[in-house]
This record gives sequence, C-alpha cells and structure tokens, in this order.
Amino acid sequence: MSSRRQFLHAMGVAGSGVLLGRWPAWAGGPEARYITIMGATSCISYVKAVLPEWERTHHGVKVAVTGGGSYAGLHALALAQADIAMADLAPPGSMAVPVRRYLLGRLPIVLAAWPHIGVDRLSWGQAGALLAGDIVNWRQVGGADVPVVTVSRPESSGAREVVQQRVLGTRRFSPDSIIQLSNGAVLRTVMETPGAVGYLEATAPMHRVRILSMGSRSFSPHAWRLWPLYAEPSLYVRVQAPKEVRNLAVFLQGRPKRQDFGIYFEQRPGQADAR
Amino acid sequence: MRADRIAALVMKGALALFIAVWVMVAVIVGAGAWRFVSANGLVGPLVSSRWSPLAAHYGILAFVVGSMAVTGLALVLAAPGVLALSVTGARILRGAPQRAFIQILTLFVAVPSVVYGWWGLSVAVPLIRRLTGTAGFGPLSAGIVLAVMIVPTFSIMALQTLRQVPSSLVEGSLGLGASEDQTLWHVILPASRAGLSQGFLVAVGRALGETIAVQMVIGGQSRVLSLLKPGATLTTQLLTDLALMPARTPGHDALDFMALWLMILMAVLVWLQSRVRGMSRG
Amino acid sequence: MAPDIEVDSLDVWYGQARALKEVTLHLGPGKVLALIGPSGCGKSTFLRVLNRMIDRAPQVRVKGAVRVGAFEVLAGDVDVTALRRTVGMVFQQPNPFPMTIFDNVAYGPRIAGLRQMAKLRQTVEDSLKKAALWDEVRGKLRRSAMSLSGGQQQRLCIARALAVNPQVLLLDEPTASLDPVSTAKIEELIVQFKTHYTMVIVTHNLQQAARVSDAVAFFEHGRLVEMGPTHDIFTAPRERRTEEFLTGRV
Repeated sequence: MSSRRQFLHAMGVAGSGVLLGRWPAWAGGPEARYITIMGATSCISYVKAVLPEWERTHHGVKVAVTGGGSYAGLHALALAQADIAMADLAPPGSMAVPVRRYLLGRLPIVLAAWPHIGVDRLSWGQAGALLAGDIVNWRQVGGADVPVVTVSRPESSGAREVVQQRVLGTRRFSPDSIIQLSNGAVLRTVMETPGAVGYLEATAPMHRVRILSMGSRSFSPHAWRLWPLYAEPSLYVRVQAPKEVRNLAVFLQGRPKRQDFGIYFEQRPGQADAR
Repeated sequence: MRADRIAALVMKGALALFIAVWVMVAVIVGAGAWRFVSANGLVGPLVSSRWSPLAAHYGILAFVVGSMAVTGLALVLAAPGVLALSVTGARILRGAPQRAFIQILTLFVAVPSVVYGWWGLSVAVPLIRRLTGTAGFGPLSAGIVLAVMIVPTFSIMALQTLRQVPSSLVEGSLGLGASEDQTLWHVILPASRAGLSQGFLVAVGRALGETIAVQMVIGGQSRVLSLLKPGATLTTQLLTDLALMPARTPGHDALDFMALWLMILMAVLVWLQSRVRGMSRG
Repeated sequence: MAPDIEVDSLDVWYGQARALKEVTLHLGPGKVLALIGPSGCGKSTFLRVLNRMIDRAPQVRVKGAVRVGAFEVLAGDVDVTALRRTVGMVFQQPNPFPMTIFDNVAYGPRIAGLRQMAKLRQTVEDSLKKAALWDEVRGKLRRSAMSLSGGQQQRLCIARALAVNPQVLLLDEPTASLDPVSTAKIEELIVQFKTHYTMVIVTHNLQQAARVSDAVAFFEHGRLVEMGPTHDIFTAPRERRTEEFLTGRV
C-alpha cells in the first residue's frame, strides 16, 4: 500500500509541477523584467536584428520575440501575455484594452506572377478578377495561353487583409487558391508554378518572379512612396505599459535599419511620435 | 537497495508526470471541444465543409475527410515500398550489408518532416503538375510526401519483425517444397502480423499527425476530396488557423474540436486493429 | 515405391571449416538409418544435404554425388521443390506454423496447388490418422496448432510432412524435446512407417537407434567411421572408435 501512496504523492507533485509551469504567464505583470514581443512575421527579422543594441543599454531586461501573426500578437497583447504586439493590421474593434501605436513605416505589397505569363501590367479590376478566380486564363488579360493559378495566404495574414480590402473589395479569394503560410512559400510557389499569381511583401529578393504593375504604377524600392498597395506594420503597446516597454517601442520605431528589411519610412529626424 | 528505491521513485515520478501532462492535455482539449459542441452542436460541424471561422462557420467535414484520404493514400502508396525494403533488409541481405541497410533506414527515420515537405515541393508537386496539368498542390501530392515519409519508419519496424520469425518456421515451409516467395507470403508475413500491425499503427499515427510537410504541398482549402485541387487536413488547418484564433478567442474552441477528432480517428484505428488481431487469433 | 539412397564421396565445407569428409554410403529402399555420433560430428549436415536444406547455410560448399531414388540431389538442374516434396523433414523442435491445425497440415498440398476443399479435407484427415493424431484433434481442427502439447505438435509436424506424399522422411532428433510418453509414440510411428518410407533419423539416444533402425551410421569429426546393420553395430562393431562411443568412452 505504501507504494500506492508514494505514487499518489508523486502524481500530486507532478500535477502541481505542470500547473506551476503556467505560472510565469500569470505572473508576468507590469513589473517583470521580461519583455515579450509577439506578432507579424514580417517584422521579426528587423526586430531581432536591432534588439541586441537595445539590450546592451538595458541590463537585466530579457526580450523574447515570437511570431504567430498579427492577430495572435494583438490578442496576446490584450490578454497581457505579450508586452508589445507587431501587427500589419489595425487592432480589431473588440479589443478592450487601450493601446498605443508606434508606426514602423510601410511594407509594400506587390502582385507577383510566374515569369512567362506574357503580361506586365494589370488594371486594379483585372487584379481583383484574377485573385477572385473570375479570370481563369492569362489570355483573357492579353497574355499567354496559360491557366491562372492563384496563390494566397491564410486569413490571419496582414498582407492578405490589405489585398482583400484594397484589391478584392467585397469579392472573396478564389476557393482554388493555394494557401501558403509564409511569404517565402508564396514566392517559391509563384516562381515554380506555371500561370501562378500571388501577392508578396516586398521584403525578400524577388527575382525569378514577375512583379506586375498596377494601373499606371510600377513598384520600385526608390519610389516606394508612390506604390499604392501596402501594409503599415506597427508596434502596439498597452497604454499602461511600464516605461521600459515604451522605451523599447520607441527605440524599435527609430532604427533606420528597418529599410533593409523592407519596411520603408520617411527619413526625417524626430518622427518618433506615436499616432 | 537504496539505489533501487531511488530508481523506482524516478520511474514512478516519470510515469506520474506523463499521466499528469496527458490528463491536462485531454482536459484542455476536451473542455474546448465541449464548449464548441454546446455552442455549435455536434453533428452540424461534422457534415458541413463551410469553414470560415471569422464568420462563425465551423464545418470541419473537409478536414476530417482530408485527413483520412491523405493518410489512406499514403499507406497504399507506401505499402509496396515497405514490403520491398523490409523483406530485402530482413530476409535477403546478411551480415555487414544488412547492418548498413538498417543504419541507412534509421537515418531516414530521423529526417525532420519539413525536409520531406521541401522534397514534396521540389519533386512531388512538379511531378503531379506535369502528369495532370494542374497546379500540383493537393491531397495527392500530400499523400506522396507522407508515403515517402512513413516508408522508413514502417519499413524498419516491419524489418525487425520479419527478422524475428524463427528460421525453424522458414525451414518447415521450405522443407514442404514451398518456394522462398511462398514461404514469405504464407508463413513469414502471417507470423509477423502482430509486429506488422504495430508498425502500421505507428505509420498511421505519423501520417495522421503530420502537419508541416503536408501543409507545404496540400494547398490549404476547405474542400471535400478532390485529389488534385487544394485541400486540407485537420492538422494543417489547425496550424493555419492557430494564428487566426489564439487561445481564449471565440473560434479557438473549434480548434480543440478538431484536435479531439484527430484523437478520435486514432482511437478508432487502435480499436480496429485490436479487433483484427483478436479475430486472427480466434 | 520407397527409394534407395546412395551417397558417394560427399564433402561439405562451411567457409574454411570442413564439416563432412568423403562420406560414402548406401541405404536400401524402405529402410531406417540411424545417424549417431558426438555433437558436431556432421550428422545434421549430412541429413540437410539430402533435401538440399544445406543450401541455406551461408558460404557452404558441397561436393560429391548424392542420389535419392531418381533424384540426383546435387545436380545443378535438380527440381529442389520436387525433391523436398519427395524427401520430407521433421525437426528437432516441433515447428508448427502459427495457424490452425487444419491449415498446418493443408499447407503443403495448398502450396502444391491443391484447392478443392473436399480433397484437402481428405488429405488432412488421412495424414493426421497416419501420424496417430486424428483421434486427439478431430473436431478441433480450427484450433490453433499452438494449443497442442509438445508431443502432439511434433506428430502434427509429421502429419504435415506426410500430407505431401513423401517417399523419404528425414528426422532430425525428433524426440529430443519430448517427454518419454510422447517419445514412445513417435518411435511407434517410425516403426509403423517402415517399408512405406525410407527414413534417416539423427538421434543422440542410442536405445532409440537400437529400437527403431535397420542400419546405424556412426559419424565422428565429419567422417563416416562405420555403417552396418543395427544389430551388428551394437553387438560387434568393427571399429574401435565405434565401440568406445557406444560404451561411453568417447
């Protein structure tokens, strides 16, 4: 019988161990020396690249960066599971916690297609009809005789949200779209699939796909201001966040290096004010 | 004696921890699934394939069917390879070549699934594209990737089982004038049935639970079974929508419901397998 | 109908090790030959040459001439399947297949292509009767062979061998793992089978050899030291080594 008591005892210890494993999440209140950044994957590389610089001047503060997408980041922020959310999207109306936004800049989004479609330029209407699956062959927009294959991202993607609102409007993405989870996967799929068309965050090198002009505009990194299709990646912080957290957000907002990661912004001094 | 007691305690502790973790997972998934069922009903979501969680449409039929189809396809495609590899490794090769063969197979078991997904993008998808003229993304490609993925695991388990068939049985069969092939089909394989079905379950488990490799090539749409058009499985949709519906959001319970169905599918398989084994013994 | 066996200058090597050296013997049709000798003397090797089971050993080389009835056993073009159907084998450990009693006995005929259920049933019943197992298993044919006792399993294996109508039976220490009662039953069978089948039996039990065989061959270090009628060997062996072995002075 003693062995059974031992066993129950061990069960109890193990059980509380498992429960205690969740403790840091509850205990991570405003005074914690840990800062968690969570959200859009489009911002992660930039944030990770400049973090060491901030950490050097803030000893004893540990910063963790995780992805999960814009929705997850904002949600975690509202639940106090994260201190800073990275998001390409505006916070949903249901979000009850007052937050402050730190705009990082613009993340241009371009329509990219398989190189041999024989088309360089689309009207906004054509672009919408293509992504909605109403145009099924590139011939219909003056290109080669190749069936259209649309490539898209999941509903949690900020880029998808932008394309939905600006290009598709009330129409829905084609139900035959290939859904890929990351920008890189979309790029590869578009590159390799004959007739494919999709949208890309203009961060990665985009050779070997055809970047389509929209209406009268062509995308160029130097004239990013003129490109009409973009997300506005931002950092969100709870209004009552401790000073350190706000300080980090301001720091991240101010590093010019983000241009290297595809986030474009006006290069003028003293723009660190939050909107 | 002291060391024995400590070892026993460690074992019991590990077991207890395992049970505790397992119970916790079951409780979390079960609670979420329960909330989902109370809000949306049990049957409705199962017979609908309309999946639009932001608009509160939670039909998971396409994913359940997708999971079963992709897994079944993978098993059918893998079976000849598994048979060939395990028989070669267990009954044809001997000595050093056999050891090398097993080591190579083991190596393939350890390849992470994302690599198989990458292989799928590079080989399976273009192949299907060329053969069918479609985009190449869909359950067929996913089935191929899974088949390639489970072949090493399944083969190595089958191989070990086949190797353990006593040579007295083999000689008994050969001594009656049976050929090597007849002996394989009528004695070695039946005698290995228990081990083979164990390997089968592990293979099914791996196929059913595989996520990233499948997601990379399946296309990701809620569609009931077209092998060549984008589809989805329970696991790939879980992965896709985890970002959309983090914990404690309204749609999140739907993900628990899906996880529960994964467990149910697996449980049904285990039950079926025990029935098949029971029958063969009777 | 039972064939004779003729062996001429048989040599067997396992790799570099020589297992049989220039073995020459003749066994008349329907006779029972007992092979005796210390462990590792080559008795089992000799037995396994007769139905070419020796082929399974890695790196084995066999030289010489072996004839079983019309079969040139070591010829390259011999039909091994037909040979093994003619020359049945019973092993030291009972090795029934993990299937029903019926399926065990029906295995050989089915492999050979017999599909008619009525004929199969008849063959199974006949074979079980010949092996003196029928009375114990009738009505239980659908049970697993594994449910039988060791002695019953060995008789099942004999029935299984008989089901393909062999003319020769090779028995490799068939009673080594059995109790005295089961052993007696097997020995009884062997005596009954005389004249119907030519038999070669490996045994470590000298009394058994004396009880069941017509002729005895004594092997040592891969050589056939002496072969002769059972009575002669046990009462007046020609070779000193044979006498020493039989009297326990090995």
